[in-house]
Amino acid sequence: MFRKYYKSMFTGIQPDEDLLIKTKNKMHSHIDPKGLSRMKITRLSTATACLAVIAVVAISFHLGQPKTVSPTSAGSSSMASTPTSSGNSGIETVLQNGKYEAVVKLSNGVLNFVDANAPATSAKLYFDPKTTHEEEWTPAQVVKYLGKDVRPGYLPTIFSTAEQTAGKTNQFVVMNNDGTVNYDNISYYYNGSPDDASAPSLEVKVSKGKLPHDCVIYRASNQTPSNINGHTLSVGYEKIGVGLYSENSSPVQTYDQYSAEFLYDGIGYRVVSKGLPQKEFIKILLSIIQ
Amino acid sequence: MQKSLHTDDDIERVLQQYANLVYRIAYSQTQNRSDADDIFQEVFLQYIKSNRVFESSEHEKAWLIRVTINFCKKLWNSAWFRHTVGFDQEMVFEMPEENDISHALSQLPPIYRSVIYLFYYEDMSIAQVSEVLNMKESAVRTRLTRARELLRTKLKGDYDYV
Repeated sequence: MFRKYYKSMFTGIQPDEDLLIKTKNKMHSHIDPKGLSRMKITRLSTATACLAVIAVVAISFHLGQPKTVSPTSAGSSSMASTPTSSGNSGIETVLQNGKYEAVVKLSNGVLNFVDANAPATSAKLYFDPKTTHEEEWTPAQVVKYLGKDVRPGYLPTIFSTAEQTAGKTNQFVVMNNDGTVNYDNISYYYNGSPDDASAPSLEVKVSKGKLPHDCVIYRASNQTPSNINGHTLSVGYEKIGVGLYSENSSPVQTYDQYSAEFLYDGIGYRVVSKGLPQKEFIKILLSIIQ
Repeated sequence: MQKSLHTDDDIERVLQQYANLVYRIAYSQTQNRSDADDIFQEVFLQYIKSNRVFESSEHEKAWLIRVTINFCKKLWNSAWFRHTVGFDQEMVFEMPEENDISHALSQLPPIYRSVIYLFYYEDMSIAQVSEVLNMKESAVRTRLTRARELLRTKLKGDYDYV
C-alpha cells in the first residue's frame, strides 16, 4: 500500500516545460560546436596533438607575441597568451602543498579565508527577447570592452597547455537593442588536462563595473576583510568531496577549492581554483591585483 | 567558458531519458519545487560540463542519481539552508493518503529519503541501492528499517511497507 501511494504521489512530479527549456538552453551554451570533431581528432592521435602543441608554443615563443591585443583591432581573431612566469609571490605565511591556512599574511596585505560552503545556486536571469539580443564577441572585442586583458599574469605550469586555448575562444554577451551591454558573462577557463574533468582547473570570471552575477558567497557580515595593496577582497575555501559516497560516509576523494571575489580597476572578478595548492591560488591573485 | 564535448543529440537524449528521474529524486530529497528546480539545473549542467563518457546506460543513470543526491546534500549543509526558513511549499495531492505520505516524508530526516525513494519508487533492490549510494547492504537495510519505523509513527495508518 505504501509503495502504491508513494509511486502515485511521485508520478505527478515532473519538471515543468519552462524548467526543461531553461536547462536545455544552459546546456546548449556549454556545447562546443566543434566538439565531436575535436573528440575524434584527440582519439585519432594524441601524440600528434602533443606535437602540435609543442610546435605552437615554439612558434609563439619565436615570434615573441605581445601580451595584449590592441583594442582597435577588434576584428582580429588572435590573442596573445599571458606569460607564465613564477611572479613575485609576496607571501609571508609559510604555505605547504595540501595544507590550508585560514589567514595568510602577505607583504602587501592579508587574506582571511572563510568557509565557502555555499548553496548551489543557479543564475535565474531573464532577458526580454523584445528588448535584448545575444552577441558573440571575439577575444579582441572583449579586451576592447574591458579596457585590458584580464587574464592572470601568472599561471601554474600545469596550465601551460590550457593557456593555448583560454582567452582565444569567443564570448557571449547580452546586449540591449539600443547597443548598450545588458549582461556580460566573460570567463576564462584553464584545465590541467582537457580530457580529465577531475584535473586541477582555474576559472576567472569578470564583469565590467560590478561583480559577476554568480558572486554569492563570502559577504557575510562577520567576515574579517582581506586586502592586497589596499584593495578589499573576499576569499573563501572549501574542501569538495567527489566520487560515490553517502551522507554518512566519507567521499572517495577530496580537492581544495579556493575562491576570491573583488572589484579591481573597474572590473569585478570571481576567481575559482580547483585542486590547486593555496600558494598557487594566491600567486594567481597577486598577479591580477598588482 | 569550458566547452563540452557533448553534442546537441546528447542533450536531447539525456533530458528525455532522465529528466523525470533527476527531478523526482531532487524533489524527494528537498520536498520543495524551488530547490528541486535549482538542483535539476545544476545536475544537468554538471553532466554537460563533466564531459564524462559512460560505459553503459546503467552507469550513466547511477552517476546522475549520485550527483543529484550530492547536490541535495550540499544544499542541506549550506549555511543558507541551515539558517533560513523556507515558505511552506508542500504540494497538495489528489488522494488523502498521498498528502499524508508527503507530509510524513517532509518530517523525515533527509538521510532516509534517498533510500526510501530508490527502494519504493525506482524499485531497486537493497543490493542496487547499496551500489548506487556506495553503502554497505547492511547499512541500506538499517536505514530502510529505521525510515519505516519513523514513517509508521508519523503516518499512524495501516500501511504495508513491503
